[in-house]
Amino acid sequence: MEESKPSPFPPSAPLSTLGEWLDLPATTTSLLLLQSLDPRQYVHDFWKNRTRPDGRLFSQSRPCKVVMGMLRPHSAGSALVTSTTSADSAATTATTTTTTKVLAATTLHIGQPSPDRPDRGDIVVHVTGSGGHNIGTDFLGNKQQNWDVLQAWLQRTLEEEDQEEEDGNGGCAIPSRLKLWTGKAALRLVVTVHILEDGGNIEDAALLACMAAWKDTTPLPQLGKDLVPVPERGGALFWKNHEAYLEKRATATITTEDCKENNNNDNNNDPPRAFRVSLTMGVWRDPQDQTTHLLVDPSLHEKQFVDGTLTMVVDTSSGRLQPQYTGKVPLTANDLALAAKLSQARADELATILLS
Amino acid sequence: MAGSNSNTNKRTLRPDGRPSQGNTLRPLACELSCTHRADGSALWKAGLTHVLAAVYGPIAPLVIAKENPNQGMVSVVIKMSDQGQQQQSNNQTLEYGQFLHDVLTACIDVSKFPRCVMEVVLQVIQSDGSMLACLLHAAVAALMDAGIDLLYMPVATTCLVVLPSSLDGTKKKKSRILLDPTSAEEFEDDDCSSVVVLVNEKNNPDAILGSHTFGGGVTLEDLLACVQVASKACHAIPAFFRLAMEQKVTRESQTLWSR
Repeated sequence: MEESKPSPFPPSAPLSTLGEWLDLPATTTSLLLLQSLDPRQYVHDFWKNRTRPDGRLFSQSRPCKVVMGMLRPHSAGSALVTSTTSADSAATTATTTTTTKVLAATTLHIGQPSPDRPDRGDIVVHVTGSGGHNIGTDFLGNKQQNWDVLQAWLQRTLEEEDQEEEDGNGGCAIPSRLKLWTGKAALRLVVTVHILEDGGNIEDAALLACMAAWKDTTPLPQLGKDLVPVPERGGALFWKNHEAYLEKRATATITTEDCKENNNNDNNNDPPRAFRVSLTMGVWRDPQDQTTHLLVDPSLHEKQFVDGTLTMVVDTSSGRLQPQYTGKVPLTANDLALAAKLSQARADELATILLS
Repeated sequence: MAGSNSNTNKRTLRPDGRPSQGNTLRPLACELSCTHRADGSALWKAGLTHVLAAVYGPIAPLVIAKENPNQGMVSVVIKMSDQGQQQQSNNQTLEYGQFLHDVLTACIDVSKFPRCVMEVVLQVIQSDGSMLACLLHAAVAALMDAGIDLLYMPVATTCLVVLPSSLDGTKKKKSRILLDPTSAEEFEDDDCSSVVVLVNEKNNPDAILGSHTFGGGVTLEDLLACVQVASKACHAIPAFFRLAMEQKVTRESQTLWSR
């Protein structure tokens, strides 16, 4: 009777033994082993306990830091947005921190407005970053990150205008703020977005960076004050004192207090600006009780295993929503209402940065 | 009398002659297997919006590195007819393509086609509003013609939310919702309106499986009202799909080349 060969894999061995069998370092925890061998199960185990691998709750975003004016005087406005999971919150899981870092910069050009929109300026968005591929409209799932789609979405979101409120206290959208001389001159705002690190939820970070860079783009050149029209040259504009304007822009953010004084003096008659913020949520349906959960600000690791992605763009002045959803899980009216509530809370939170 | 009749028509009819209540779809037409080189094809017409869809696959991808060993991949290519506004068309094409890719990947049973690619080519022949919904319906009809298994049949509904005008100084009333708008209605007053495209299915009409919004945005009440409108309209399209398939089967059975 032949003796059966011993199985190289003891069926009842603990995971630490598995780690030894796989020749992994002794410090490797069982959770990391599970993360490597079955990442879907690893993430679902956390979600079933109503928590996430980085220690956040379902309705909790990653801490976000916005630094404005870091590229002055090389650009009209700039902002660096960093979203990262804190090491403390991920301590129980020993998960590596995920960081999303996006840099946006704006420049202004003077030109002629479009004939069909003579009282509005123009916005052009460029998105660059590592790992992006320009493959046109051929989408091949999650294997390649396509910055062209992000660029198109940012372009449309920044260009869209909302109905101004009747009493004029509503936020004035970007294209309307770029007009100089109706039908003859307008500003073109060129927004360059560079993806420095992609740790998930790149859309929210990119839109926030664009909005913060737009907020930092002060002061805008004004007709009569900074620019002088020459009617005999068919609407051509000349700078009154370009060096003084550049110096005024360069010194606009020396300190917070000076910034407020300078801005108040220059923009006394400036209507408040409208901003749009977005909140991306992953949709997950619990297979046990078939309940639908929204995971705010999904990380790159979580995004692979959600059943759908919902992005809500909120206008801070009017509170209107732009929902964008695709997924396998149907969303009911209650889910949409919850998503709207979370998005509005996020908009109120970011308004303290953008409207200050 | 003629003048009073025309004024009455302005209040009761939309620009294309539909009632102004805004809950009527445009006339639909669908022809399956209109191109013979593709595995499945469909010519979808909704009013004056015409889209031709062709499906190739499931086939092996040209580049082996693009294979997914666990499931099939869906590739969407959109060709717009509007060459005048090139940049705007490119941006719109990119967003439409991404949306359609995500929706089709969710509704196709991709687990049955590992290491395969299903390429969906959409050619916009004529554009007159509600383009995204027509693209999706044409793609679904072509997938049906190709015999590809679907987990469910997605139905797209386009709602134009017109904000109430406040020029007369009166207090703002409820927004108006127009179903299946034409391009004239979409661009007529784009500062005061938004277009909401909702995707759902017949078996669960009150929940949405996809959403895409253009314009300034809508309130939560308007969004939920659009969901209600979409739930009522979603029964018409699957019935039309069935009618188109029955006509195709009947036509093929009557040709000389069928047994």
